[in-house]
Amino acid sequence: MLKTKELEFNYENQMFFKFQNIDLKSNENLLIIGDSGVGKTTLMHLLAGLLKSNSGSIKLFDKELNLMSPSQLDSFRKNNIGIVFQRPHFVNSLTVKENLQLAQYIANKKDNNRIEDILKNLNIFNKSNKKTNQLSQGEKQRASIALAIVNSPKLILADEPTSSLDDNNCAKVIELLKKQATDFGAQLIVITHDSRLKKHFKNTIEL
Amino acid sequence: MNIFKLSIKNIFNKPLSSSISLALLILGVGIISLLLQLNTLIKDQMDNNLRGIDMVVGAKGSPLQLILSSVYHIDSPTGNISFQEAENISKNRMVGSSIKILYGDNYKGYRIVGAEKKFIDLYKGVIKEGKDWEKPYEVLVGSKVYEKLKINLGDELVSSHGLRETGQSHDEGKFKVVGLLEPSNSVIDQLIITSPQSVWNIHNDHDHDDEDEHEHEHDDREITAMLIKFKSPMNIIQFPRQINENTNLQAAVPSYEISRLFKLFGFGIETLSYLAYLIIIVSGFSLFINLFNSMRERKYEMALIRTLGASRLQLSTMIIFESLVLTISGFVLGLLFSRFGVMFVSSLMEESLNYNLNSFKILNDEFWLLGLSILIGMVSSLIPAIQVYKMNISKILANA
Repeated sequence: MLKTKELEFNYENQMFFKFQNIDLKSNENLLIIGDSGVGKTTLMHLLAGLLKSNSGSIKLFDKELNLMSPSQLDSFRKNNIGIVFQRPHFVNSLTVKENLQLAQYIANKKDNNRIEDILKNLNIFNKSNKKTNQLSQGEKQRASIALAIVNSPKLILADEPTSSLDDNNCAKVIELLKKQATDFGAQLIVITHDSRLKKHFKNTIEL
Repeated sequence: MNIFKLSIKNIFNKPLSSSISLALLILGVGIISLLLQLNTLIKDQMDNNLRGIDMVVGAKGSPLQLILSSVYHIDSPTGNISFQEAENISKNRMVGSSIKILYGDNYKGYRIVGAEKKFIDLYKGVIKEGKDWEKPYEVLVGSKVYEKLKINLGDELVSSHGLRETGQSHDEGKFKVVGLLEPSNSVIDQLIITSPQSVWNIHNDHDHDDEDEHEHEHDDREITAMLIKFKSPMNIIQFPRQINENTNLQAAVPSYEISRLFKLFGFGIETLSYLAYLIIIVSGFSLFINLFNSMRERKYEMALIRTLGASRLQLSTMIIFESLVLTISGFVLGLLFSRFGVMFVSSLMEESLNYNLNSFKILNDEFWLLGLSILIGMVSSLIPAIQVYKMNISKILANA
């Protein structure tokens, strides 16, 4: 399902990353772990199609990302990938529900039942009509997971989802992510420096 | 949810900074539109009352005053002239038609004008109820007057001397309402019109009989002014000068005096409208600064929207929408503001001048103003929209 080969990226300021090959089968989750500065975020942006590599190839769901135009990447992303950021981002002028509706609109979908299902599943349905800045940290994290999965992506990319959490909450969040991925039929790739997560994944790659 | 709705939500999310730009725009658009409206309305009204009058003859004094008093009925007359002299002028071969009018009294502030019947025809006055006057002391009442004072057919009006309400009332000045006029949107709407004889009668201690008058060798009757239409428009150059130089009367040309008047306060209007354009430009700047700042505050949410799969164009469109929604609503509210302004000014003018200027049509120049508002909206959102278009989402997210 995901195959990368000889992936390289260098920034204008001469930072250079060379990534090891990844080969992930369907129905498997993956943990990518590495220390700061080894290019974790860069790799995640490459996988999400937010950056284009200088050489090498990324095959995701049998599509070669490096051959796509920016607008093709936009549309590939909205149909296939959900992203959970390290710090949750929202459109602040909208409520939780409206944020999800916006995500659906961008993907040309409209399904309020699904929004309801997801919010109930994440236990924040009672916050539907709250502005996102009125949520607690934990609620924000769950709402950002909702935003990542609302368009039924085949792949959920999570960037440092647990780095600022204590052990207890760390375990809760990662189990929640795995459960959501299973419940909604998606694969999960987590990129982190947090070694506590190792025990939650069968497949691990160290950068 | 869609991009347009999102723009609106974004505007309402920052009510303070949005409303400053909006207020400036409303003020700018409002002032310009108010000036345009008033200018057009006053000009229309002035022109409407001017038709068919090429020249006015009256007593010496300010020509503008003569025009304002005898054509627009808003200033005091310059004085009276002798009936005989006016008669001589009206017989001149250059004169096509002439109407003698005279003032004397008022009824509760509304002027009673003694005039020949042609006066009503001049303004295309039509009798709505009742009939024309036949005998002295019978009057026709203009629409504004009977509406305001609730005058009915057959009422008796006791006039006061002079043109102001405070004048001393005289018992002999009892007028009988024999006819009510249809609204004509001209000066006769706020006049009470009667035969010249009525006015003469009141102001002469001894009433003369009609037969008597013709036998008098010396005719001491006076009128206030005479409205003249020439046979040929060419006479407008020569004839007024002849009168001013050769008689002790004054001749004034309304179209000339009115354009002089407009030039006089046209300068003020111009200055004020420059100021208003300046305000509109400032509102554009404030809009630009708003968008620019909110762009920086919202860069993460922009990046988020992009990662959700929105195209660059959709985001840029959102920014331009935000700007256009503000400028277009600024335009609409500005027009509304100016209409209230017009209503206010016309209510003021009606009180003091017995004048009415009510009309709510949208002027061509106001469509230009709409174009200008849209332009301001586009220009001030251009740079922020380009910035959003060129935004590097990966960089923004990496620095989060």
